[in-house]
Amino acid sequence: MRRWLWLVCLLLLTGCDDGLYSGTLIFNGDHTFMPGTRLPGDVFVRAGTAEFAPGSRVAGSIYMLGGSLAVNGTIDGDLALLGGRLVLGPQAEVGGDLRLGGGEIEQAATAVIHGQVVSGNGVELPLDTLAQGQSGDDTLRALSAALLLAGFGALLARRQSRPLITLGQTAVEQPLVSAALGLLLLLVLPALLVMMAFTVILIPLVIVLGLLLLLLLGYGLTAVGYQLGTWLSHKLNRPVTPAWAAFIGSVVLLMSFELPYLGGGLLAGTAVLLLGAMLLTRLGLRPYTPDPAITGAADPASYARRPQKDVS
Amino acid sequence: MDLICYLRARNWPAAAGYGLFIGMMAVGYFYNVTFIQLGLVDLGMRGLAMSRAAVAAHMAVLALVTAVTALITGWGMQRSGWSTRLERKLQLALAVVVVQTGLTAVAPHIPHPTALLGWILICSLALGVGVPATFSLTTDLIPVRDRGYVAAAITAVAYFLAAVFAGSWQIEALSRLLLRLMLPGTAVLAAIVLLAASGRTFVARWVWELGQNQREARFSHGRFLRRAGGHPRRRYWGFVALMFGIFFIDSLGFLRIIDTPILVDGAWQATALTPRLTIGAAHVAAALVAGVLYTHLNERHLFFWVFGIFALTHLTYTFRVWLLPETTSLSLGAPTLYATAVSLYTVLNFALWADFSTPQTISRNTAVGVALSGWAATFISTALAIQWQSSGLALETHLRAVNALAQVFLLLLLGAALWPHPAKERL
Repeated sequence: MRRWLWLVCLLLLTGCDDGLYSGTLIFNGDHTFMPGTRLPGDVFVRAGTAEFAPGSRVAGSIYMLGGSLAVNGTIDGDLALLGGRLVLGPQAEVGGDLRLGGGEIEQAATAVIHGQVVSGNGVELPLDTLAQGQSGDDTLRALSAALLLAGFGALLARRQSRPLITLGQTAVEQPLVSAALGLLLLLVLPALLVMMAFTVILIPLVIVLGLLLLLLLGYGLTAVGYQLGTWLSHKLNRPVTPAWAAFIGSVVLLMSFELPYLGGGLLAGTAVLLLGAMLLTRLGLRPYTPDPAITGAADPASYARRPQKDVS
Repeated sequence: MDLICYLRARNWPAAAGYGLFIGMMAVGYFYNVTFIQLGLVDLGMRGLAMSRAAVAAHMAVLALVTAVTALITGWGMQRSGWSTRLERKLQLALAVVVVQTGLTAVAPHIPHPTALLGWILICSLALGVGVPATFSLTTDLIPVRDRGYVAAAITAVAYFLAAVFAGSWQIEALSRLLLRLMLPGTAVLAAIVLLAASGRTFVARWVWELGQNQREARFSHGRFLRRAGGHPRRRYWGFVALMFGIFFIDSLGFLRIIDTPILVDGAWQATALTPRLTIGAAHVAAALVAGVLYTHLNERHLFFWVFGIFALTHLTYTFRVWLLPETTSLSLGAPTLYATAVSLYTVLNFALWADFSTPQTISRNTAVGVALSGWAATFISTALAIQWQSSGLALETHLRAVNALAQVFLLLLLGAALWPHPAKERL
């Protein structure tokens, strides 16, 4: 129960104004943002009219799906236009890109666009928060992340090794069903998260779920790392404690993701397997045993052709 | 997988049985999802200038007659013992294929609505006989352990063909395409049936060997009959209801989506090949995933996934209609999700009924299952979708209704899953 309370607290924190994420949604009516007004996050305009007077500021991006918008202030992020009418006044300043996917635009000659003007209908939703921190692909950063995760794995293996073993064994020994479930989840999750982000009000939950997924992926990687470490210790004939097996295996596994060309595919394959295995074993808390009547081995002799004498 | 064991044991007749079954069922299903579901609507509305309501009424007749004929045929096959006779089932299948080939050839030349009604009645009778005759081949040709994979292969082939090659969905083009597939298929099936009846040919030996398969437990005793402590009959009717819900939701939503140019022009009816190939690939991948999951998991989990993905898909479409301007074309995310859900449940439909049956009961069980949940639901919902559209129901409201239905089924399933069970099943 306590862990759920923590989760709720985290969710509430992310929803606070000026917290991890905040935004403004305009669905109808007329709105004027006077000089000195500062909106902390992104602005979504679906319908109605909005005007940003000179001296007003939007700290995030503006996504326009309909209605009418007049900008004479400063937008720190992007300005995306998919529908409706947009007027960029003489004092308008866009810090990011101007993305045009539809609608009408009227732009004053003195309006400033610091980024690029991009044509196309893709809406870039504010999910960048999830991607932050994942961009570092230099070896040192990867090694420190690997060491951190390996330490976490070693701690888990020492204190609660059973779920770790169950999860890792299922991913390794039942790759077909794990991969199938993982693929299905991988198809559904992004769609679900994008849908939730579209509601705007659920964006904080999307961020929490994204973070939760990353945590689960880390947990799963240590489970596979534990299996790898145990296998390595057997192969090298050097017995180690479960904690060391998890540590060494996790470091080897995570560093293998840095291999050129192969690393990305290896990471994707492992993630798919892990997601499926986590569902199958409920995060390693329940072992998965397939029905032996359906998946078990049968007597090879019973598959031979019937003798000719049976024909009559 | 039993097929690999047969190949290792050089048991070519048993292995060839897989090919026969997959070929027949894949072409049959491709025929249903293209010619019957899309072609007839086009024939009525474009070819014969009938109103939406009139086409809806004709589709309802087709549903009713097919379902009733299938029930009578399935029951009759069980009573007469034909359900356990492979040769007889192949003869019935040949008769159905010959009639359908003839109907496919004449369909584009139907001159008026009364002739269409006659065409529909003959087609329904043939389809109604075909359902129990072909589905009941499962206990002769496919062992229980491989039914998920075989269902996946049928689904993958049928939907890939439908997504990539179905073209403009006009009756003339569909008739030409189907005839190219059906004429050689009919010839092969006729050759098999005639040579099997003639006695001493290698084909007769092959058919005889296949006919003996059902004596083995690995063919004859479906997986849902094995589990101790369960209630197969109660579960069977539960699955009939769930499959009815799935077919109903699918057709109710899909018929409206494909009638909305902005939702299909960049997807199922794209002029470029890439979107159609993407959808076809999604069908294939989802079918393979479903085949693996059907074999390894409790079927209840597959139902969860199907209803969940349907709810998510219709939510995606509803959001698109509600939120984005009409000029914005849809990405392939929603059609891909749709293809996934459809492939998942189709695999279930091909494997489920045989796994509740023995060779004696399979014709009746598949007739009830496919006729009530598949045909009846599909065509009733098709008729309802056309009726809603002709009464001026807005696209957004239509999709929201379908989405609400999917969510109701999902919640009911969740409720049933959380209800305390006397014997806990494996995952």
